[in-house]
Amino acid sequence: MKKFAAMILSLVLAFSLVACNGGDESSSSASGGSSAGKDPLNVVLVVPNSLGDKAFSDMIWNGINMAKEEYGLGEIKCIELQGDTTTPIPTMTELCELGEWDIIVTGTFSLQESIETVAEQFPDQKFIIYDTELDYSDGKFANCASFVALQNEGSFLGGALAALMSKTGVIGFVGGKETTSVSDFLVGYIEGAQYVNPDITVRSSFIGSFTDTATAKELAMAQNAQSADIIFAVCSGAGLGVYEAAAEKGFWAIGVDSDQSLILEETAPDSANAILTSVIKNFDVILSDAIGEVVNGSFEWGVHHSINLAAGGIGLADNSYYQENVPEEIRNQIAEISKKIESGEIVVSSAIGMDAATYDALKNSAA
Amino acid sequence: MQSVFGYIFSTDFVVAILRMSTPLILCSMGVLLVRKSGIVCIAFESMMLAASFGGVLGSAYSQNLFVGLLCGVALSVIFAMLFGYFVLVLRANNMLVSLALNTLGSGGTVFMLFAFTGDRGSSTNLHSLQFPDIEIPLLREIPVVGEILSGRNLMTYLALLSVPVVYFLLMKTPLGLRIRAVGENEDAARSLGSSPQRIRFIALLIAGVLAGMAGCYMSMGYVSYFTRDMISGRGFIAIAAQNLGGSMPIPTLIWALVFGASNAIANAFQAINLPPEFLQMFPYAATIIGLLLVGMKINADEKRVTRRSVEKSRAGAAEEGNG
Repeated sequence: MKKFAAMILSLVLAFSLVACNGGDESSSSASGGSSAGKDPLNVVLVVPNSLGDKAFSDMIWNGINMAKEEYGLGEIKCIELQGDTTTPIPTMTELCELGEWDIIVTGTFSLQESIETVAEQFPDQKFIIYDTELDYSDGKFANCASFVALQNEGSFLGGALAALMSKTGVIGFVGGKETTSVSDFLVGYIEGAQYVNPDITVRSSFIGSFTDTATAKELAMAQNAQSADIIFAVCSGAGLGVYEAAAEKGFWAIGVDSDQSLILEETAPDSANAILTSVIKNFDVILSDAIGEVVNGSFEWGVHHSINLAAGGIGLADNSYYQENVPEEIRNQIAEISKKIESGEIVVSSAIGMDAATYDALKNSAA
Repeated sequence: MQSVFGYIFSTDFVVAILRMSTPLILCSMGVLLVRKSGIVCIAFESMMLAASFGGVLGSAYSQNLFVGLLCGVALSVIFAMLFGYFVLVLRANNMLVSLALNTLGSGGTVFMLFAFTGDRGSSTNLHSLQFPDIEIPLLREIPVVGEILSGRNLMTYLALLSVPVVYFLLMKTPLGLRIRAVGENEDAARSLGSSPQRIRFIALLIAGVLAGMAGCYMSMGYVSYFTRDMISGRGFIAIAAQNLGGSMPIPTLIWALVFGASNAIANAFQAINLPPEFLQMFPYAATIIGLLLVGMKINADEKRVTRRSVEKSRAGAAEEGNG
């Protein structure tokens, strides 16, 4: 009987693992398209977490789908690693060995080392990498190309907007985990706020997870109780908690990655209306364009691209909520600051490569 | 710094503690009942998660709060019964079953979410309902106390109510006596004619209902949607509260409030740039310190008992010598 129980248990366990992965493989079969003559490209996306965050991962997957429609790709598929740090290398190695995929799209700072290991082993496999930078010196990684959208520049605008809108002179920041890319948002945010108001206080809190919506809400409320009246949520799916707190307590939130108000406007109009704007990274367009260039044969491998504000890689969501809730005067000021960043008159620091002492000093300068 | 202390000594802060403690109190009362019946179950995380998913789904499709609660509780009870079937009937290892169920809960809810809504991260495209906040007339008028105790979520009141209910159930009813008897001495209880298996199933059933209510609160009160893995360890913290409270309702309630408070303090202090890692460690450090204190007390008690019995036997020997 015990054996039977053990067997059932392992089946249950196996099912639950399959359940995670089963829903994940959003593949769709080939439909030919514009690239007549050649075999259409097969593209596989490997995301470190999972789809459905209404933010970053969903945007990347959307970009691949856009490319499929526009450039007639073959098969596309998404593999979600579910935050498991032991699986990236085996998963990518397997994809390379299969040889079915012309391009592996993957990225983020957390997968950097795994990508480097696998890309070095399989020099014939093409990789398009987002949100992190590889070292291409000495002709290394000629099979890769990486893209970064300068989140610190977009976040600078968010900080400036928060400081302009704040009545209390205190603004907040709720991050998921204190990772390099989340810190990069914080650095831009503090600098942007200080650019407008040198005496601004920036309260920053970190949830320690990207899924704990309840704690995100609680942190936002605690910041609000300590007089923060604009709070920037950089915590992926958990950001929903911050928007809800904003709607309940009557302060403003700023969303991240994709236009959060538009996502929420149908089912949670109160939350959507509490979001001033979102700092959006246009990775969908960047990746779709990149794949398009691969299809046309004009793509350059072995290089890194930093897509800045000027190139449209990042910016504030200019939606009806922004138009309605932000006075015109402030919107004009933001547009001016935006121009100054584009022209290089304002140079925004980045947490990428920043040492801990400088980072802490910046945080403390706004505390 | 000033702003933090201003916040900590405000009613908002006490309200935050109540909000954060609500799921812990409800769930820890369930853990307590199961523990009293003599089984160790750590599958509460999955029961809560299943309930938070079921509640959202049920209330979204029926547009009825009660149906939502019922769906959530039913899913949680199903998990509790699965645990019971594997552990009590099939005699599988309780830890393995718990782990399997927790994994199933995490993957299974996402899978079902995808099946029902086509979304994998959150239920934002469902119109699910929320438990109302209850204003209590008269009490509301009292300054400070009224502000804290009136206008809280329905589930917060039910959580506070669950403590005397569980206390009464355990201490004053025949069922409670049987649960305790089965937990303390299975053979003795069997010799008196109660079936340990049946009693434990009943304890699991009630625990499933309590954990289900805790789960529903997470997605239908605390926030208004289900997000994947939204329980984030609260099921385990509830188990810690029960252990530290020595499986007694009132001490367990106090520990659940301590955990709520330590979370609230951590959240408040984060805003003034204390290192977040240090503050996120707070509840877990509180657990370890608490376990240490409880352990030391038990040791001291045991020593005192031994010493007393040694003294007694010595005194007895001396008397015999005199006589």
